[in-house]
Amino acid sequence: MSRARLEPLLLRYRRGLPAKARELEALASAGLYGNRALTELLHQIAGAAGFYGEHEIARRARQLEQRVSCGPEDAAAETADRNAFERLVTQLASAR
Amino acid sequence: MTGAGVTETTLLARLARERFEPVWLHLDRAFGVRDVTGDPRSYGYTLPPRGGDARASFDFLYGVDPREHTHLELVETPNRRCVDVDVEPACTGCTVLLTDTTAEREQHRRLQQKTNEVLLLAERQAVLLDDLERLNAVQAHFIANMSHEFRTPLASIVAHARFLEDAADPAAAGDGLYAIRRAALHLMNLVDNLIDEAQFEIDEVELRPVPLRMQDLLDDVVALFRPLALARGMTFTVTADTAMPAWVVADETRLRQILVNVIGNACKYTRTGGVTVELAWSDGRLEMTVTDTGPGMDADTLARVYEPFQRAVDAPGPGAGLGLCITRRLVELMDGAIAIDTAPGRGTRVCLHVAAPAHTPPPANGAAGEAVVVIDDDTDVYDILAFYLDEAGYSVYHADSGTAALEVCATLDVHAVVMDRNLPDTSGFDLVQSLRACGYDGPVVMLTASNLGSDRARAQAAGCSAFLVKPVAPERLVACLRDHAGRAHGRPRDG
Repeated sequence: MSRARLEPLLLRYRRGLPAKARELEALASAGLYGNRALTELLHQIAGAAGFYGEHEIARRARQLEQRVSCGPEDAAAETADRNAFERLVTQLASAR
Repeated sequence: MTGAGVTETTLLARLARERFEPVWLHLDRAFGVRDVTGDPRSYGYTLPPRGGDARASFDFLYGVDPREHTHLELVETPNRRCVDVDVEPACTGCTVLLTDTTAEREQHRRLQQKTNEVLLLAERQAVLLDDLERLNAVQAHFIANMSHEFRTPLASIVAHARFLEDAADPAAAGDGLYAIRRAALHLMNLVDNLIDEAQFEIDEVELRPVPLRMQDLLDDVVALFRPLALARGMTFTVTADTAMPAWVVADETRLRQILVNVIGNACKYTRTGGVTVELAWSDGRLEMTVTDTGPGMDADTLARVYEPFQRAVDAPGPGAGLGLCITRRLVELMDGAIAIDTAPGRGTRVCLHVAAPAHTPPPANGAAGEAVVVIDDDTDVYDILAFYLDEAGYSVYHADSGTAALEVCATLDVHAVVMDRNLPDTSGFDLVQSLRACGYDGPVVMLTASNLGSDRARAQAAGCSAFLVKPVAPERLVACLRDHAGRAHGRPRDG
């Protein structure tokens, strides 16, 4: 495998992650749950991140996708989801 | 005084005898011996009898006229000494004087030897000077040649680096770094070859054909020249014939050198408009046409364009005037030909073709350019899948919607389809049904971030060959495609 050809792809993907963080925050301003656009973006991030070696991002995005698509069980769960969302956004925003 | 004079005369006579060892022969007109003074035996001559023919002992007298003054120099004697011979005519015959000149002969021999050595050295020096002159010419030619080859990738590196200084777009910066790396690798390749080529005369370049992937070459050409063209506000278009095999056999460095020279010239001379590169392949030959909207050339310039060190009067920037000269030599070396169609104000079109037979890579390395369509609206996913499938030897096509996918599949001989579950205008389940309804019978791999068992069942029912969960390992995806190649779709496999 040509690492030289792969590296620009990895670099470009990582440098595009802060933009995804901003997009997630913008979408979440309309609510975390029952938000189809937000769920689709989380699904997209979950699908792509693993290909680029960002397995932690993929795992968090997949978990959040499942949780926000069905709504909070209780207030504690909602707090946990919001914290998880913030952690994902922070991780994306700080990616280089 | 008289006594002193006698003494001096005696002394001089003795010194003369010791130094010159003279021998006097008094002969009659028929060379008969009348008298001998001195000892001819010291020179190896036999003492002739009185009245006998002197020539029997002194053979150098044959051909001598006793009536004339004669001087013979450096006559070698029987005992390998040396004498000078003087014949003095007399009333009744002649007198022959032999004087020792062995020392002179030795001195003469040494002088002659030194003269010969000097002449030999001069001759050798002339040969060395000729060699040096020839080597200087070859060296100058060689350096000029290499300088030309270094200049284009260096220009690309400089252009990309300058662009990176101002780049606000991180993705674009990544592209720039990649282009810099490729250009640097190209330079390194040239340096490596320089070491080899130094062994050869300029006309004895050897081709090293290897399997090479055309897509890599095209990517490199685009990465090398597109920024230069765009920086000047020009268009830069590269198109490749669909008949182009994924792999060909050619000397990669030389082929790249040809492309870089021709496209580099087009970009260098064009100020407005653009440069178009068209690549085609047929019957084992790679054909390339580079068209530019530059100033074109008149007939005189065109006639000299292949001569070394010839540059256009208005040539922009530095250059050795070797590009097309080298290019033609390389093209001919690759069993090809080059032609230029140009006129002032009409731009220039360079058409060339070289031998580049198709190559089928071994199965372990993947497919031989079969078309795989990746249907995904996420360009991040498409880019990485395209990379891996391209590495495996597939020709990869992109469709970002169901509609686009159906169009692509209708126009291509599609080997396999890799699709997302969710598409902007349809679902993957509906799309695979549409594909099957259109008669497509090859492998369809559904690739999704969802791992629901119900989705697997739906995929199977819709006609998918396999169901894989993102992110799948590239080798697993490739193995899945190979596994399903050549047979109609069947039960989906678990991912």
